Amino acid sequence: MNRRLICFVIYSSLLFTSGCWDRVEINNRAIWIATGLDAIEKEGIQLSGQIIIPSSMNPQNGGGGNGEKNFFLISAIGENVTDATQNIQMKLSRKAFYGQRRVLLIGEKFAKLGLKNQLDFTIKDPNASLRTDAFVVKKGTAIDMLNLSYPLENIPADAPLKEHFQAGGTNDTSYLHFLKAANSKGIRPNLPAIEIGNFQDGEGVGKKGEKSYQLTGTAVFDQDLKLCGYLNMDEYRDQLWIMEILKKRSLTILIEDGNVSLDLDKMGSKVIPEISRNKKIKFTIALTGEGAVIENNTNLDLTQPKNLEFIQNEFNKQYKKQVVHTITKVQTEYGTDIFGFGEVIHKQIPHQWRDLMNDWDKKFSDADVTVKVNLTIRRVGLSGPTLRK
Amino acid sequence: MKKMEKWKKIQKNKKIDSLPSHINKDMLSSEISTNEKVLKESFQNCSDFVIRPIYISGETKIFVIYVDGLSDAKTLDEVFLKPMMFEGLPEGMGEVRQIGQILKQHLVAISQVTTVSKMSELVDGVLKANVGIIVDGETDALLADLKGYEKRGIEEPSTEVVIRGPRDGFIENLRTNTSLLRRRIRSTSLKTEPITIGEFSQTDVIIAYIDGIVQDSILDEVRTRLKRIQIDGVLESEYIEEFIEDNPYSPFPQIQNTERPDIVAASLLEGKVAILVDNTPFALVLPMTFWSGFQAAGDYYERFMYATFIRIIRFILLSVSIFFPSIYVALTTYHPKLIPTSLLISIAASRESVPFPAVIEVLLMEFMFDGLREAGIRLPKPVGSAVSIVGALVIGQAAVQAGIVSAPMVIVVATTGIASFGIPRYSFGNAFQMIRYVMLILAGCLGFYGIVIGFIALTIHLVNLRSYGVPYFSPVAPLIPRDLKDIVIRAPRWAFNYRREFFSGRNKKRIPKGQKPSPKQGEE
Repeated sequence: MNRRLICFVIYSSLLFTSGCWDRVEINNRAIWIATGLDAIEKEGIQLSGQIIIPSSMNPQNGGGGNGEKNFFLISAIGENVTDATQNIQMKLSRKAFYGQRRVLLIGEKFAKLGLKNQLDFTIKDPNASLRTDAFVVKKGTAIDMLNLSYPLENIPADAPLKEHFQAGGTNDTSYLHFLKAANSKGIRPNLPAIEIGNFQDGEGVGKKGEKSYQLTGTAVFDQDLKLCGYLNMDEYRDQLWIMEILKKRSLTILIEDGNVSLDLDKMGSKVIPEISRNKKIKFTIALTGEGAVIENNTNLDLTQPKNLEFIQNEFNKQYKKQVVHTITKVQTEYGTDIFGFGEVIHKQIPHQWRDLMNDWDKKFSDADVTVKVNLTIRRVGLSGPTLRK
Repeated sequence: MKKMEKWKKIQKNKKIDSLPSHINKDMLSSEISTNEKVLKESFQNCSDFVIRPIYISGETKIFVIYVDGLSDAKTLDEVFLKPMMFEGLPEGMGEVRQIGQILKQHLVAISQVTTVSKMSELVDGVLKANVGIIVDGETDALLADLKGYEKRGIEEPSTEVVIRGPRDGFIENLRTNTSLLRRRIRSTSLKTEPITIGEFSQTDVIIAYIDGIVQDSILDEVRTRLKRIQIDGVLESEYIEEFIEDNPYSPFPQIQNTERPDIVAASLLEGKVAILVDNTPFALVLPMTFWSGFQAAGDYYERFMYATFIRIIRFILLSVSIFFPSIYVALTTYHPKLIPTSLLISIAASRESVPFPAVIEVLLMEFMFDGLREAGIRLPKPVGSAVSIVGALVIGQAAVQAGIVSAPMVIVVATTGIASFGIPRYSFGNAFQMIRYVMLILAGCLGFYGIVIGFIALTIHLVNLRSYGVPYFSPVAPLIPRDLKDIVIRAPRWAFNYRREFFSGRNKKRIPKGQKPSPKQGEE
């Protein structure tokens, strides 16, 4: 009995004297929901954060209305992120808590300087989530964007996240994709790009002159994680289609004097690499998709198999052209393999990859690319021929 | 062990001391005046003791002895005294020697008459509400069963209510209780072994089981454990329960108690043993497993799908009642990363003005809730509702508005409170009520790590428990797949083909297979 008591005392003191006490009450934490990184000449980097003001979110007080902002912006300059974080903490009455940070914004200037030596903090902090959506602010700075509130979302940082989700992309794994790409040789990273502007003007949302933002495509990085350019939204979607990330997409083509829209809900892609004897690399990309025609502003009666086949071929032809255009643009303008073709070779012809990987960007630019688009129209709707007769 | 022996000895000596010294061997004397003297001495200062002489031919020939209030005096008057006094014995009163015989024949109107020859037996009989009759010149006494004490009517048990199902419950009278059982199982196999426990209380205890189903080893163990009990009085079955359970230092009851005769009957059919104690409506059923804590009587009176559904809800409620407050504390103070952003923000918003750490807050609220609950039992009925309204207002609204506790915390505690009543067995739920506090403190000190430690410790304890040789967690650990039909799910009646492995002895088959209703039924 006595021995039991001693055991109990020893074991229970083991629980409470380990010293690793990291209990922090919620009201002693500053909930940090978005991080912005900007380059400041000479001084280094500027770290800015969007922090929620919980008392303004209190549902009992009518939910943060009154035109008051329910977040505040805080920023500090430092040599690197840790330095800046320490400087920020001096301006913050509560311990900054990064566990809920879902958005990472990178100013264009910062991105152009290269991210290679600046992103270590996002991986090493145990509280920071890798489930982060990272954006490059096109023609702008991260701090400007963090300062904007969004009329629909209580937490403004949710807005770019949801915009990206609606557009159908890598969503909150985009930062993870970026890191993976940065660490492998057969793929170059890209991040979604966002642009600040008066996008809501004249559309009945928000006040006149109030700035907002929209997703504008993707930012392409090179091997040193330096920003080398942008792709627009359509090109970004092509890239996601090739990488089999995109789940749904609407395609619109012009035929004669009208247009037809196809809503794809099943999309697939297959990349087949080929290396000829004289080391010429060739890729065959087979894109597939299934969907329904949801809008038909032509004179064609799609209930006729003949017309349907015509439209299907037209879709295939036009989108083949578009995808080829995207790939060629990346090959010629940026010369970095954001499609991950190198990884495909790595997986399918591993023994050849060793010779190719060292100068991959060059070889990627020189590779031949053949695109096959094979779309299937499953439904055309029962509403009969179009109104235009 | 030594202490016990000593105690036994003292008790024995006491008994001998209390008997009149000039009486040998406890036998009734043929001299009626001696018997009278002995009885009067035994019942000295017992104001409820009645010894009534009946004079025949001017001499005291017969004594009627009973305890006032225990025996049915009216019946006694009508079937015995009246004919004696006014009509006289039909055969004449000549021969004294025959009186006893005549009386015995004459008392046929009383259902149960026994003859005893020992003084102690006579005294015991009288104390057990019989009427004793001693006759001059006879060395035997008669005990007429004329129990007539007050008893409560059969009511629906308030602790185990069912929507559909029988509404009768046990009462304080043991005989009524056995009759309730016998009415359900009309078989000679239903055995009710009597045993008397309690030095002073002399409480009747009955071991009920079904011969042929019960596991003999369990039954023997019950008998020996009951016989070992040395206690001054048994006022409730809990007195016995604490003597015969396997692990006294466990918060979990290892013997189930119930007020419902249908539960007892069903348990007997499963091969369990029931212990019925006089003067309490609560019968003990053993062996008990963890899972029988979740089996409500209603489960077997509803359609099996609904019963299964409600049982799953019950398991969820159980985990809510143990873990919800501690998980809330661990999440908010140690792992806010795991809370969805918008939820975290609303929690943060409502916690903004709260001065206490979350653990203290929960402990405070839980304490208030348990206080209210306890007060609700104690308070006189007319005051009770007023207090609970004030309690609800104070806790629910005023505390939040005053900023002493946060609104989510009230939700957490209220949900936990409701969940803790989802466990059908009250005494089983009590165990979890205590564990909740332990978990809370662990979570407050160590976060999820503490909860996991607590959960592992709890599981280890539960798996180690046994009730009369039956592992507490069976049939899940050790796993007996055949017996899983009545654990999380409640299989349809026709699927209960076998009795539980651990409970039943020889007779494992319960009902024949192939009774599932179908159009082809009965064709073969």
